Amino acid sequence: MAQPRGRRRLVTLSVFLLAALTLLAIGGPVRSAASAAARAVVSPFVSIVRGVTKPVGEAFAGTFNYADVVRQNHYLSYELGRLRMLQAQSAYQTRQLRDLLALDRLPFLGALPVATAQTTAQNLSNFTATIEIDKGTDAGVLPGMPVVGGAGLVGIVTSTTSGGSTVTLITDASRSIGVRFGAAGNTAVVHGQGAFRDLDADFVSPGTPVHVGEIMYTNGLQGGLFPPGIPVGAVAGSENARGATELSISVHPLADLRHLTYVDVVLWEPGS
Amino acid sequence: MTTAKWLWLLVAALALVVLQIAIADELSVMGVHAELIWVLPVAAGLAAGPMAGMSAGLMGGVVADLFQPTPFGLTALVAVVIGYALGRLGEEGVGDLGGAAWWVAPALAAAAGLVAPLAYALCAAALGHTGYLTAVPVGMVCVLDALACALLVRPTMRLIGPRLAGDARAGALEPVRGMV
Repeated sequence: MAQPRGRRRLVTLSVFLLAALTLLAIGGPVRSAASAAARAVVSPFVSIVRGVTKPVGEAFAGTFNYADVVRQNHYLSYELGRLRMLQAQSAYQTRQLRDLLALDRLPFLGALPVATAQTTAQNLSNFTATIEIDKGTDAGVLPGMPVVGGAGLVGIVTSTTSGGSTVTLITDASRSIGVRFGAAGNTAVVHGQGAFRDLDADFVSPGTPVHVGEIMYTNGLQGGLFPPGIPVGAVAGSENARGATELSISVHPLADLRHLTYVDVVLWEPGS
Repeated sequence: MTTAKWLWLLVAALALVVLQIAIADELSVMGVHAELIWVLPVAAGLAAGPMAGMSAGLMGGVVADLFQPTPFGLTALVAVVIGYALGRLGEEGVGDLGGAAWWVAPALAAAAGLVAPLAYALCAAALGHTGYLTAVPVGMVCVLDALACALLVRPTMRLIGPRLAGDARAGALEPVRGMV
């Protein structure tokens, strides 16, 4: 009896592995159809469990981090005042920039419509840097649209359902972004290195002046995935190794990718 | 596997996804968190044998992949093997399971939790996603998954074991034997 049972198990194992491999080969369309239904089923239960567990967690966090919260509150008040002053000062420059970009027929980010979305989950998989947001095709959100939040670029919409979307963050190892920096308008390509890690900038020739803190912006070159002028990150450090054909530059994302409660989806499609 | 058992596995997988999104994803260490879905094939394999373990791996893997932006089917591929291996190990690898000490199931589960994410990252790398090995602290993921599996395996066996038992299976681990 033992042998037929063992054979049956091996046949079952083979069939199941084949099923998993088939899903890997043709899984995309199957997933997009089933994913929305599964999320709709699970979502209310997630809200219930969060409703129970979140106050407990926040009470603990509030107790142990009260001093930090007060300090952060003071800093944010200061930052808000500073930004209001800068906003007043920059109105004139903004008008000039819009006119200049119009001459080159480039889109002006400030004039593009956005859809504000709430983050519903972050990094569902350890192996990808993503967030889930509560706006989808019903709100005009489509794959390929840039997402901004806080001080800069957050990522790009990679999949959508009617009521939600998945955004792949700029730190994801699969993402590359064309950027421009410096007074001379140097170009580079920054690559994600994994969630919560700094980005790497490539294709910068040795001798190019690079300063710590310098901001890199999307370059918006023809065929680019992003409109020009979105701040991506600040140079955290650079190294000019002897004999290297390019500079090694580390870039810290400007947007706080750990705390993305709300983000703006720029309703702009590549090539539009 | 009857339809009722498949439905039980579906319910168990969805429940684990709820706990994953609502609780485990919030508790991150070095930017990564424990992955609860491995508990399902481990517990099913130990409690009810290789057939149940493989079925739990397929169902759990497919359900988990519906909620992740990773290659669809990859979790199922690894989880099927994990479920089969734990089923065989629980049945034949550690001798008299009915009389096994309380820590045997958590120890086996921890070992599976250590191996599962590494196998997952290696399979992903073989499919071209090399960033899964280089851009993620895989070691920390393995440790967290091992802890989660060790902690949750006995309660999960108690919950799903009696519903899955009845397959050709010689000697279930103690939590199940006590219930049946």
